[in-house]
Amino acid sequence: MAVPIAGIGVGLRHAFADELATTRRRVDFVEITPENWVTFGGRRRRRLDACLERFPCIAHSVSLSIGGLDPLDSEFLDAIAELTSRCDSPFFSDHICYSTVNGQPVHDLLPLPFTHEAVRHTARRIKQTEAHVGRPLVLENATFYSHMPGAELDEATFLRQILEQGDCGMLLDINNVYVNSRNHGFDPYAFLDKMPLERVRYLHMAGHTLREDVIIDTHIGPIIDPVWALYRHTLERAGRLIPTLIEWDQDIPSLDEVLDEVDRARDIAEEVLSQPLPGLVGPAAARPGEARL
Amino acid sequence: MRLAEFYGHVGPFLLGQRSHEETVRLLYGSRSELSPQQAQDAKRLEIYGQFCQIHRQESLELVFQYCHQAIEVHSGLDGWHKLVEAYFVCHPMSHFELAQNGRHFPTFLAEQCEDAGLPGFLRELADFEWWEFQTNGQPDDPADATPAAGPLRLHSTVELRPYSYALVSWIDDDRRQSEAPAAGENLVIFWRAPAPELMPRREVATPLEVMIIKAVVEEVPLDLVLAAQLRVSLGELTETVADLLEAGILIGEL
Repeated sequence: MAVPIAGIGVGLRHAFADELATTRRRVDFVEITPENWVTFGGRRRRRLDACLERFPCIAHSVSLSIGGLDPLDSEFLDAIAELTSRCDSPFFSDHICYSTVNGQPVHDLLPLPFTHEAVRHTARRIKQTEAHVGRPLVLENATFYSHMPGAELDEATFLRQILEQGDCGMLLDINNVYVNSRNHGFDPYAFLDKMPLERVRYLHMAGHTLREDVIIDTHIGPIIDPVWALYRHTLERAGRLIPTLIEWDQDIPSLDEVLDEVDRARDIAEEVLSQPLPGLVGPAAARPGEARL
Repeated sequence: MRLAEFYGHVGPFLLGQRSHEETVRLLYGSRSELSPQQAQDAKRLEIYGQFCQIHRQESLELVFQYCHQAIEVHSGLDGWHKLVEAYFVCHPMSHFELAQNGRHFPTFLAEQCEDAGLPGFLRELADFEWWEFQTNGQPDDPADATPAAGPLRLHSTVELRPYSYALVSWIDDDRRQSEAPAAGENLVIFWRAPAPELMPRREVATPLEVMIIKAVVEEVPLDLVLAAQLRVSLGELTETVADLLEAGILIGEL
């Protein structure tokens, strides 16, 4: 049985990896971006090993290009398979996007057109990916600054159809919902209410940056109150503690400041889940460990 | 629009090979006919072109910090950006680890030094920086796991590289008092320091160090006979071997 993911975790970053491995503060799991770790030996490998020995781990990649036309990168999938096997993770995750064009990685998460063809194409590749890695894939809703042309579906329907046709778990990024709602002028609460919470395996929380008239998903914290409010709403609706991961990727402060965000998520979850919970959706406390704070 | 057509339109733009304006026309149509929503989408599409360009720059700047500085001094920031774009036209990204995509940069720069009138030392500086990066990240070798045991041998990360410029002293001079390193043949030894430090190291190798490394590779005994051949005392030979062991360049038992 895979090592369950539960509670509140943090994304592993070089800036604080050494300190995280020995911190006395509570961290329930870590998320690792395989691209930044798996090809390296030496000091970087030691840092990774130290964290893997201490924490349950999820591999969260950025290079899968699940919606791209280029063949899946088998060397990359092998690396994920090795890492997830080593951590005995219950699943691994990436994004609903593309990140290669003309056979070349572009190292960014790019928005797909919201079309039926993109849904079918992505769902097919979910199966291929899972077959190669040997573990379930969980996909994240990404930010998008532009609508790609030819949309036949709204974003929420597009995401739902991919997850359903691919029979795939979801990583629900609350900050991305907020960023998209601000950039495109929709109600983030209504959007969250359309998300299939029964499929959500964990949540992302992060900061962002306003640049001129558009909010950029920079993962620069701290997390703002409107995003915490959406987090609270999501847990209330789910009626269970969905494992939650704090991301902080640029202008990284001290580990203590990052872990203050972890503590804040835990405080909110404890507060929400100790109250009567309206409108339970999905399996409350269904998976081992997920309901334990 | 079919996916294949979409990617055909947007791909060259993201790779820096098609203008934003042309891509907008292909994806959304003539600017004069765009709705307000489409006009906003068209404008914001440019963000993705910028992000992809930044990642191309980052992939080289992560490794080639001193080349970047030297080229910026010589050709300006715009010159550096043009060089990065030209590099990725010749050597498209192919690896999921960002910095690995710079592996052909030393070769590319060697060609550019002649074609673009760049200083000749840059070809060696790029090689130097690439080896330092490689030394830092090279996968662990099980043969290094028990450094105090087994036959005397080189640490798996050891690499000797010949240069015709004094790169080590130039890089280590924080004030970078001269625009270019001094000319002068030298061999630089790269290796990764033993645990717990595990950081990349590089130093100009002395002739005696080079000869000892050669002897270890060829399994020649480090004895009085070798000392005589190298025209050093046994004490000097032994002391240098001890230094190489302490640094982690040599591992194993004497």
